[in-house]
Amino acid sequence: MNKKSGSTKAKSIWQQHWLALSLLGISLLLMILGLLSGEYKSVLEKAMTICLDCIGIG
Amino acid sequence: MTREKKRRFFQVGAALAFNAYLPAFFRAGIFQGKIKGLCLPSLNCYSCPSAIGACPIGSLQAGLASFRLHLEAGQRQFGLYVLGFLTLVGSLVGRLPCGWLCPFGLFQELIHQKKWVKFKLPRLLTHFRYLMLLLLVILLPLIIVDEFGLGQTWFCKWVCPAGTFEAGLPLIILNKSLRSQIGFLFSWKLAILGLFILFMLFINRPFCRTTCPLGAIWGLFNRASLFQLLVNEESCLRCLKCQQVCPVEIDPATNPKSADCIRCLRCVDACQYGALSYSFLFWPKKQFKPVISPTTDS
Repeated sequence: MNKKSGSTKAKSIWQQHWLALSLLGISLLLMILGLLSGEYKSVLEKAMTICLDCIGIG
Repeated sequence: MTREKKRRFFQVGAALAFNAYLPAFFRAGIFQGKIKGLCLPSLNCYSCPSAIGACPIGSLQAGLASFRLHLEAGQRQFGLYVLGFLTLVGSLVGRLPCGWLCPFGLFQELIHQKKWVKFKLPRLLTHFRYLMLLLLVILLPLIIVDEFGLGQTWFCKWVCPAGTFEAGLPLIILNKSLRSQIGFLFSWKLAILGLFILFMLFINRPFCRTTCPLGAIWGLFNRASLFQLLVNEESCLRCLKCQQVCPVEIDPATNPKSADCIRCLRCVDACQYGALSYSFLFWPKKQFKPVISPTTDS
């Protein structure tokens, strides 16, 4: 009984939010792929140095 | 505590948390810890001395600007990490961080509190932020490159007043060697910041509404995000109180999924008839008890 109501609830949540949940899945996939290709390090390197463009001394 | 006070608490808390490394101000440098590769859910310049995370718009531009260089060096980096982060926040809450977390949003609200003559922003200008996103954040960093295949962060360099306020001014004040390098660009950026501060006196959140590329991205998710503003049309009497309190001058009762909505939830509190509420996935629809019953009042 509980299992049935649980699956009905999950179904209704999926029907209501399928787009957001799909985007959420895609976002996690993108982040994992980005992390695996070393993008965290690239972002870190950029963030660790003073961005002269940002402060107006480009 | 009212929700508006809670929101202010969140805004101040986020501004402090995102810029938590205060010793950097005494060293005239910037925080360089390993957690700085994490993107922050707001337009918080990573060159701010105390910033503990990366600005997603700065990181996106930097990624696109070095796209060709990375490919030529055999590194398959397409900016997926930043794109994934932007999609993650957008699909969860849409533009909610603009209303609850952004330090530059807080700054604009504080300036706007001064009792000056208030003006409405022409709606046409709100589309300008998409042009900023497309042109200065995506296309120009990607297309215009030097002989090494390296582009520029055009939005950061020529426009971003948050960068001037959070990073430029503190670093120029603290760092003597940087002060000696001030030229036309700094004056230009200072003028842009000054212009926006002037607008803030008369218009609420002019930067967020007309120029912010991060708001432009997350605004696109407002229609689909898990966090949603809900309207019960049966309870709505079209009293327009929600519209009157809205900081971005939209009509939440007719367009609760507007890309301009920063989800500050002032409209929910202003509605005396309980016609506005919000939901977030498993968090059930929050039904607000009407202060005044629509049937007895009308």
